[in-house]
Amino acid sequence: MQLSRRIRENRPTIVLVVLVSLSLVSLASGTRGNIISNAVATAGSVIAYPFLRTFDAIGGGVNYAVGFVVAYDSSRKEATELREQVNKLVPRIADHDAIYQENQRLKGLLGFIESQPRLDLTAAKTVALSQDPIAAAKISSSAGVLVVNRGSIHGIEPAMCAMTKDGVAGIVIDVRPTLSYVATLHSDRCQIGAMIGRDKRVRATVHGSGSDFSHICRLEHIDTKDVVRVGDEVLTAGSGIFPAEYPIGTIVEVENSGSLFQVAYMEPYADPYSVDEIFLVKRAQPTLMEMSGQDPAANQPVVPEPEPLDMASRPKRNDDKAAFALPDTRSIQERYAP
Amino acid sequence: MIRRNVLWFITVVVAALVQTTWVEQIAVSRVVPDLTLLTVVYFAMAIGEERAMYTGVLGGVILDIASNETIGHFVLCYVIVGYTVARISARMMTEHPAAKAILVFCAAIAFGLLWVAVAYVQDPSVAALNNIVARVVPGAFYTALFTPVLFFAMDRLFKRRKEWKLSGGLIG
Repeated sequence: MQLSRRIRENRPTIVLVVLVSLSLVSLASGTRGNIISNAVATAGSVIAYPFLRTFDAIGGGVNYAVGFVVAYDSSRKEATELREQVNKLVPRIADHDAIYQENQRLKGLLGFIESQPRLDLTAAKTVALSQDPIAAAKISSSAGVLVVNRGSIHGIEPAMCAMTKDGVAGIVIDVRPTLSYVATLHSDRCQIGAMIGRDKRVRATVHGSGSDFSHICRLEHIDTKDVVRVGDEVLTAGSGIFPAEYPIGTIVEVENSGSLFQVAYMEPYADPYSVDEIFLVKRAQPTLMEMSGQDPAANQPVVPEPEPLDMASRPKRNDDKAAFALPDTRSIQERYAP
Repeated sequence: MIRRNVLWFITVVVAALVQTTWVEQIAVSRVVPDLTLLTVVYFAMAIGEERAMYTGVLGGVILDIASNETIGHFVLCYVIVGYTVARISARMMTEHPAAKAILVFCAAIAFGLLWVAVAYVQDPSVAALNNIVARVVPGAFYTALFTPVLFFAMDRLFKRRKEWKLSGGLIG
């Protein structure tokens, strides 16, 4: 009883003693303030974590919702810009494609010219009939006639051969100073001397179909004794300025009615309506064999080709009493003529 | 009663937090007023030694944590100063502001000496004399300058009542 009263009376002093003692103990232990601050910070983080997650989720949702409104304008603007760019690029791409295709086409034409050293070719461009209205009425009544922009002043003459890189396309039937008319294999005015590639003795005449809708040509004047098969290649026979042995087409049907001549039908290689340029053959240079009158099929060397000189295997000068035996290329008439 | 203790708690915490943060803005040659000491002295004079010591404990812990000192450094100094000031102020016969300012100045000097002494005991390499001359004495003057303003604001905040002082501040 007395103790409690004395404690109550001296309470400030006791509190002072207790607090000072605790402070001294803490000072003696050396506990730094950052331990408590770290603990408080950790506790604060643990407590605040769910709230921060909640705030983040709410903020993200708000930003997402606001983005619908804010991003709409920018997306629309970007779409407009992209559409304008596409509108600019589409014609350029089309031009590029057209230029590329024209380049490929010109490459093909140039390659064809270079691959035909025997032929003196002139490239001619097909033009509309309206450029020559006087002849248009006459010509237009005849199906399968092309008008090209090369005429007599360019050295073009009637009966010249017109061809594409796929094969013979037709024949020149009329020539004006600056224009020429080409009867294609679609025209009934087209007649070309031909032979069968498998057996060049078999001769025929190619007649145009006479219709723009049918490209199948008719081969007439084939001897009944000649053998013509489906799949045989048809070549030009060559006469005058018309070149020989150029492909025309392939036999697709043979018709033997028992008369003097049999008839075959041919599918031409060339489609004159699918090209912008055709070649007109101004002159076909014959081969040396053709000029000498020899059969091209017998174009085999009579004597073996000389072996190339090998200096290492050549005999020594002292032993070299005989020269190399060069082949005698003279003809038999020259060799044995008196 | 609870409301009064909550108000006291908030006042001490705010004073300690301001002491560790914004008071640097009014530093003069790195000398700052000690707002926590002012609250300790105020509650010592206004209420009593027990409330002054509790104020010193709360404010001191906050300052120890904020300044990364050894726990108890500020607490020990504030508790001793608060108790001493309360015992002295109980015998003061005047309420003159100058007397309060002088008491605050003396309390600040005592606090500074105690603080430097404890720091020196912990680490003898501390420049004790330099701290006393450069920090403690100017700081005591600077703190005393704030006495009328802070005491007036505290009087208005706590509506200093006789019954509170008579109750000893804790129980009311």
